[in-house]
Amino acid sequence: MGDEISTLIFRLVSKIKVGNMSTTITEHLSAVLDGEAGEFEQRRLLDELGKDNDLQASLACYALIGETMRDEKQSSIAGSSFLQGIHDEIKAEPEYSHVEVTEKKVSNGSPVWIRPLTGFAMAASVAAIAFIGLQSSVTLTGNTATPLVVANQQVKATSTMVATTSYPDARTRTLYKRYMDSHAKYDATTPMMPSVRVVSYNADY
Amino acid sequence: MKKIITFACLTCLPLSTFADNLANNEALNLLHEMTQSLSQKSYKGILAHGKNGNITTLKVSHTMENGEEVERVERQDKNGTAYSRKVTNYSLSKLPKFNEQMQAVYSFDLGKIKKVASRPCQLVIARPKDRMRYLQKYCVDTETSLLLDYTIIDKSHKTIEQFVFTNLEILDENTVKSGITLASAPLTSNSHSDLKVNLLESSVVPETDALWSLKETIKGFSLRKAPMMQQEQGESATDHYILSDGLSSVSIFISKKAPDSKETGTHSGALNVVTYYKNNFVITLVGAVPKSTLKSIFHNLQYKAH
Repeated sequence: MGDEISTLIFRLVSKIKVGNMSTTITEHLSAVLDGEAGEFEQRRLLDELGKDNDLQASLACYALIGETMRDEKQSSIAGSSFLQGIHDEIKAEPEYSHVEVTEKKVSNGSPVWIRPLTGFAMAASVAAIAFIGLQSSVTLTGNTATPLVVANQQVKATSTMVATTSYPDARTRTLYKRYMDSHAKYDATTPMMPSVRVVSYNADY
Repeated sequence: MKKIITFACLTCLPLSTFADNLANNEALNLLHEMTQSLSQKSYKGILAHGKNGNITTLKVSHTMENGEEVERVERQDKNGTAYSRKVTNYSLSKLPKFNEQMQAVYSFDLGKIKKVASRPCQLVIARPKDRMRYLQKYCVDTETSLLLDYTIIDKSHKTIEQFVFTNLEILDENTVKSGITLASAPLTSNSHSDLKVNLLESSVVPETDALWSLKETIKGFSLRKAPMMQQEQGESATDHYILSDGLSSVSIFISKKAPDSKETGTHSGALNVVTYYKNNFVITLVGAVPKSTLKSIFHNLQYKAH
């Protein structure tokens, strides 16, 4: 919904700015091809494409430009579609709802998770000394120990959890490709040419 | 007064039912014509395919060459591998049959006339009567009956996949004979070339011979067994079943569970894929239906050998 409102606002603003509908729509076409447009805008554009011959020509032209640029490869500028690709990859990463904490040794020999604790303990000790200085009291041990105990409990709690994932691994994805191929072969219900789906699905993995 | 109103209602009711049936039939007839045109006509064009928030463009052509259907598809991006196949042994009788039985699970309505690829087309909506399938919209060329726009819409009224021609050229016999099927040079076929789509009735094993069946019939769907999938090295034999209501279909792939099998799932546009286990078997379901439908089908599956 937020996307739709923002695209509508964008459309209105760009209309005012440019004052030319065809310029606006071609900008949107470019945005869609770059993966920058929202879903609403994409749907609208697909509707427009059916009616507007100029827009169809623009799409063919942009697709060709994109193809040529990609063929030349390794442009030094990372475009938004490239960044989108990275975002997609990150999204596609398995979600580790539980993280297993492993003890990783660092150069000084202490485990990684020990370092913040040591720092915390040091800070707490400094605070404790200051407190001793001010209050001359012996009830400080408990105060300094409390954050450590809490921190340790947190580490202990996370270290018992197990990594889980539901995203298919590379081997499973290859198998899924074959299944999709086979499904398309016998899927007599696909009204569009089954090959169209096979081609686009295969490019997903 | 009440009597007059009741009488008027009673007389109008059959009329409206009759009008609905007529519209249903008109819609079904149009879809029937569409399937025939799609397989019999020669055409080429640019198809925009929208899914997962991305739009890709594809150059497509469909021609009848020496009595055989040949499809060519080429992606217009960096992964632009050409895909071509001869659709041999293609049986028209196996194309989606838009028949009256489908009205048990879908209602068919005629919509407005739109313009797609500068061609007028009639909108036909196949609206599911339950939440087990997706709503499908077809825009059928009023002149050629070819499908110009196809949209799949989910339960939350969101478009999840769309194919729309941005331009389309109907090819006459002479054009096809001269071999001009796509604007570019002839495509290099990949490993999928000349893929045989063996959809003849004889290739489908009757359900009675199958090791798996459904505990309860899922309304509108019928189960058939496809030929066993060809194994690749190190793979166990995989049975392939097809569950179809004529408009939506689900493939069920069943193989022996390997030690490292995992329950996983993914989707691409409207197509969902999920993997579960049952009776020491790995069961993968693939279909353009909601994930909940795939799960329900899985729970309904039973192994007949026990």
